[in-house]
Amino acid sequence: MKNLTDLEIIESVKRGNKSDYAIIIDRYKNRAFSLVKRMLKNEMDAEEVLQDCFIKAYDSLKTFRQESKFSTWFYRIVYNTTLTKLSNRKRKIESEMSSIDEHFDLESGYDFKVSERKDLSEFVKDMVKKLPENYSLVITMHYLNEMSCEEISETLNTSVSNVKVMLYRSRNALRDLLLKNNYAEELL
Amino acid sequence: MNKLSDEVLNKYLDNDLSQAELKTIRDQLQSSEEDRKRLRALQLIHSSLKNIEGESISPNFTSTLMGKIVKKSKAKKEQRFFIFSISSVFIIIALGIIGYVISLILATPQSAGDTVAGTKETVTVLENLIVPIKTFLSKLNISMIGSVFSLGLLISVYFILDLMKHSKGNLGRQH
Repeated sequence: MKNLTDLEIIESVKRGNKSDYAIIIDRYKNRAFSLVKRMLKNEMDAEEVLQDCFIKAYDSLKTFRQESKFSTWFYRIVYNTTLTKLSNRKRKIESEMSSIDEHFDLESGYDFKVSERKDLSEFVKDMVKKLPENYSLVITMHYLNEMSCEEISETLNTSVSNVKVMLYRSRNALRDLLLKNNYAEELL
Repeated sequence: MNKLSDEVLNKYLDNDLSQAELKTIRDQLQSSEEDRKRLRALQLIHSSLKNIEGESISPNFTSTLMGKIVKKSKAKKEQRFFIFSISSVFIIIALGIIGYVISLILATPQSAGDTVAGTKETVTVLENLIVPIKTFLSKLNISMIGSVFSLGLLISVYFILDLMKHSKGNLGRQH
């Protein structure tokens, strides 16, 4: 059963096999959780919002017309629900999400002496958290959720070129930090 | 020679360049140590990002959520059944009223002098229709019907609200 595609599972759920929805939950819970947690920066809230997302998706399965992949459709629900949660918290980041900051400074507020003790992947992970919210989201969606630039643009309701710009700038900023620090020796 | 732009290096990384562009860039990379270093750094970031591990949600997440979903759909079913029963009762009452009106109409005696023309007959039938309706919708009857409907409505609204509160409570407890 676990080898079935998303669409086959959804068809089965629509036919009345409600318990099959658990496979979809298992398939997406961790990746979606990373996304929500990155936006909300709170584990408890992230879990609560993710529950709402899965319930919303379940209730809307009948309206899913398979025009896009289930994952894209679902991540769009996740993104919009999390944005609503954020606006409830009166954090006005929605406008920030649709705009691209020209500059961001990853170096400020980071203790490079501490970072010396970490390996490269830990360093990169820390740095991704320090990226502006929309950049960090694009990186998470692209690398962790394995979404293409087109899928990300559909989810974030922005253009593909915007997504590419955010992706490139994030990588460039991380690379510049890498070159400026002790990690440069890994290039040899 | 100018150094390669960041955009070009990123496109090279994503395999997003044409064959002609690729050739030019490879030539440039061969001749510039600095560009090679920048590309290697970018490749290192790319592979590190690929290896980042995601967050893990609590292990009982799926079972808790499935419990909620099952409970919610059960509550929905109950709600639908309740609304169906209430509307059935109202339909039965409405049908009863209509039946009563029709029986009154049929029971009203035909006028004696109806043997003349067809037009006269029609007028009489219409009169026969209006009289019992007028009697039925007299002030007293209207207030009685209104009271019965209002009471029925109030009871239904109370039960619907109670049912909704109950189902919300059930979902809340699962949190």
